[in-house]
Amino acid sequence: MAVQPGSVTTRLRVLDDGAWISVDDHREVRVSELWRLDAPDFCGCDLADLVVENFQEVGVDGSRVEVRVYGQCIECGASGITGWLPVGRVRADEFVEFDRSCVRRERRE
Amino acid sequence: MPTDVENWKSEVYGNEIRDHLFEFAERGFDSIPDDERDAWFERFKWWGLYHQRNGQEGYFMMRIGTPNGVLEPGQLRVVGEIADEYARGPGTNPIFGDAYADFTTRQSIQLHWIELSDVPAIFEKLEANGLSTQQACGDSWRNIVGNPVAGKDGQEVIDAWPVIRELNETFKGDDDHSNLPRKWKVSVTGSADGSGQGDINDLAFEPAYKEVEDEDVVGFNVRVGGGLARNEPRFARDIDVWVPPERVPDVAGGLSALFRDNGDREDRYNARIKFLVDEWGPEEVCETLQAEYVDFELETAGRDVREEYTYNTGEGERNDLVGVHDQKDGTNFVGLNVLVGRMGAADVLDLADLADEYGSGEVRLSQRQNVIVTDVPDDALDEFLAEPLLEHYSPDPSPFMRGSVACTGTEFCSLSIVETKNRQVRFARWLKGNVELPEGVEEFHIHLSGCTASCAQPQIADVSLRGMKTRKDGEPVEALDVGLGGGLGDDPGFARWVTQRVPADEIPGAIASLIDSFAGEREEGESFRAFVARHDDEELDAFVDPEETDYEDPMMHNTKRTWYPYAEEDGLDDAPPVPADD
Ligand code: HEM
Ligand code: SF4
Ligand SMILES: [Zn+2]
Repeated sequence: MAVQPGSVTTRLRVLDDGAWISVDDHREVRVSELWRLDAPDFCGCDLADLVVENFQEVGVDGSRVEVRVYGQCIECGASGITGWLPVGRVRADEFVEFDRSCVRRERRE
Repeated sequence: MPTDVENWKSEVYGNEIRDHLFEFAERGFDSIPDDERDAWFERFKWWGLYHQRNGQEGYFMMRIGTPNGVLEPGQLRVVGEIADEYARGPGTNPIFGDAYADFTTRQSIQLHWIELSDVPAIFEKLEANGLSTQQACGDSWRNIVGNPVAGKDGQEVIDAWPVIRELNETFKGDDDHSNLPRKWKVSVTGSADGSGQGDINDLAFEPAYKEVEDEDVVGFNVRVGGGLARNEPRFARDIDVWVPPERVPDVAGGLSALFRDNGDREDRYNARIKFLVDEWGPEEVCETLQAEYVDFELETAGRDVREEYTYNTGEGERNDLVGVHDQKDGTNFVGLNVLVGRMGAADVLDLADLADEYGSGEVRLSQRQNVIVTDVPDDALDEFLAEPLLEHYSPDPSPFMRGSVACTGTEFCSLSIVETKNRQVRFARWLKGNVELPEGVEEFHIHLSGCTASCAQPQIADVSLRGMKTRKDGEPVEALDVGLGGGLGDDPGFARWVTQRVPADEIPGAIASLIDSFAGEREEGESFRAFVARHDDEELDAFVDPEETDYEDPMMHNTKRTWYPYAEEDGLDDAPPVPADD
C-alpha cells in the first residue's frame, strides 16, 4: 500500500508471509521480538508480553506507522491477532522505529 | 483489492523474470532500483532465489528443485561443486563449516550465501547438467515429491517416476500455470508405504486399483488441500476421483487451473487451496473439475492401499528409507542418515564418488532430509558399508539421529523465531548419549521448526518442537512448544500441542522425562504414538517435565537480533555490507 503522511509517499508492506514490514523497500520491523502491550482486548494481562509471530497488516495514522500482528502472550498463553499497534514514525522521509522496550498501546477506536 | 504481490506478478512474472535477473546480476546488486527491491525479491523466488534475512542483505538462499528427489548420475557432484565454489559467505557455521548443501523435506536442495552476481554462472552450470531452480519457490508448481525410490522400490504398486517426470516437464515453465494465487505442492506416490506424504500436499496422487472393463487397473486416487502451515494444518481431502496414469497430467492441470481461477488473490493468508477446499467441500471441487476443467468422464475413487502405509506413521515397518533395502532388479538402495539434512560440500563430493564407485552414480533424496544411494549390487554392499564416510552418514544410526528433522531457522530465515538446525544437532547428540528408548522401539522422530510455517513438518512427528519465546529469570529466552503423537498413515493425525513455551535448554531434559514415563507406563509392544493416543493432554503435559541437565545451549538469546548467530561479532551493527559485484 502507498500512503501519504505529510507530503512524501511512503510505501508500507507486509512481506514474506508476514515475516517483516517493509518501509520504502527497506526491512524495518521483524518478527520474533517480544513486545509489551497495553491491549486489554488481546488478553487478561495488565501488560501483554507478546511474541511477534506474523504481521497481518500495516497502516498509518498521521505519521505513525501501525501494524496488526499475530502473536502469543507468553505471560498467559493467549494467542491471536492484535488491534493496531504503533511501531514507528516516518519523519522527513525516514522511518524511526519506536524503542522496542517501551509499552505499545493498542489504538482505541 | 489485489495485494502488492499480485500487482507485481501481473506486471512481470514467470519465465520472463530470468532476463531481468541476469541483467541485475550483470550490472550489480545496486542496479535494482531502490523502490523496486521488494517487487524484484518477490519475483526472484520464482527462479529459486530467496533473499536471506535481515542482516544478510544481498545474499540469497538458492533452491534447486529435484523432482522426486532424483539426482541422476553426475548431478550430485555438480551440486557439491557449486556449493563449494559459491555457497560461501561471511559467516561460518560452527558445526557445518563454510560451504554446505541442505536436503529439504520436499526433496529439494538449498544453498546459502549465494550472491546475485554469481547467479548466471550457477544457472549455466546447473542447466548444462539437467538441473534447475525454476519454480523452486514462488507462486506456482513447486518441486514434485513422491517416493524417492520410485521405479526401483521392491514394494512398489506402480512406477510413479515417469508420471512425475511428465508432470515436471509439462508444468515447469508453462505460462498457463506459472502465476497461481500461492504455492502449489504436488505429490505422486506409487509405492504402498506412503513415502510420498501426499496427505500434506496441495495435490496428492496415491496408488489405487480400479475395475475398468472387468479388469483391475492400477492408477491413482486424488486428494486435494493438505498443508501444515500457519497453525492451520490440514490433511488433503479425498475428492473421490481415480485416474489412470496417462490421465494424471490432465487432472493435475485441471486442478491447478481450478486453483488459478478460484484461489483467493486478495489475501495471501487465505490463498492456499486448503482454504478453498474448506469453503467448497471436496464434492464441489470434484464437480467443478468435471464441469469446467477436464473434457472426459472422471472415474470415482478406486481401492487404495492406505492400510499398508508405514512411512512416518510412528509404528510398524519402514518409517523412513534409511538402511539397506531390496530393489526390484535385485540390487539394493542404501538410505544414509543426514542429520538435519545438512552436508558439507566436501562430503557431498565424496558421496558422489562413492555413488559412482558402488552404485550407478545416481542418488536420491527423501522427505526426511536423507540421501539414498541406489543400484548397489549385493557383492559391493559390504565394502560400501565399510566406507569411512558412512560412519558419519550412517545407514544404521541412533534413533535420535535418524529421527531428527529441522528447518532453516534464525540462521537464514526471515520468519523464524528460534535457532533450529544446530540446536537439533545438539539435542540429538545429547539424547544419543543420555537416553535409552524402551526395548523394541527403534525409531523416534523429533522435528524442529523455527515457526508455524512448519517447514520441518513438526505436526507429523512423535515429538514436535516449534519456535517460541519465554522468560527465564525475567530474561527473554528462546523456547519451544512441545507437541506429541503426530504421524501419517491410513489414519493420519497431527501432534497435540501439550506443553507450551519450554526454554530451549530444558528440552532435552523434558524429552528424557517423557521417554522415561513412556518406558514405565507403556503397554506390551506399544508404539509411542499409541501411547500418546490413550492419554489426555493434561496427562501428557505431566510426562513432559522440563528441566536443566548438563545439556548446554549457547543460543538462548534472541538469535534473530544478530546478523548471524555464530559470528564472533554478531550484532546487527556488525552485519557485512552487500557483497561487491565481482
Ligand atoms: C530462507 C529460508 C526459508 C524461508 C524464508 C521459508 C519460507 C516459508 C514460508 C513463508 C512458508 C509458509 C508458507 C505457507 O503459507 O505455506 C514455508 C513453508 C514451508 N516450507 Fe519454507 N522457508 C524457508 C526454508 C525452507 C526449508 C529449509 C524447507 C525444507 C527443509 C522448507 C520447506 C517448507 C515446507 C515443507 C513448508 C510447509 C508448507 C505446508 O506444508 O503448508 N522451507 N516456508
Ligand atoms: S519453519 Fe519457519 S523458521 Fe523454519 S524455515 Fe520455515 S519459515 Fe523459516
Ligand atoms: Zn496475557
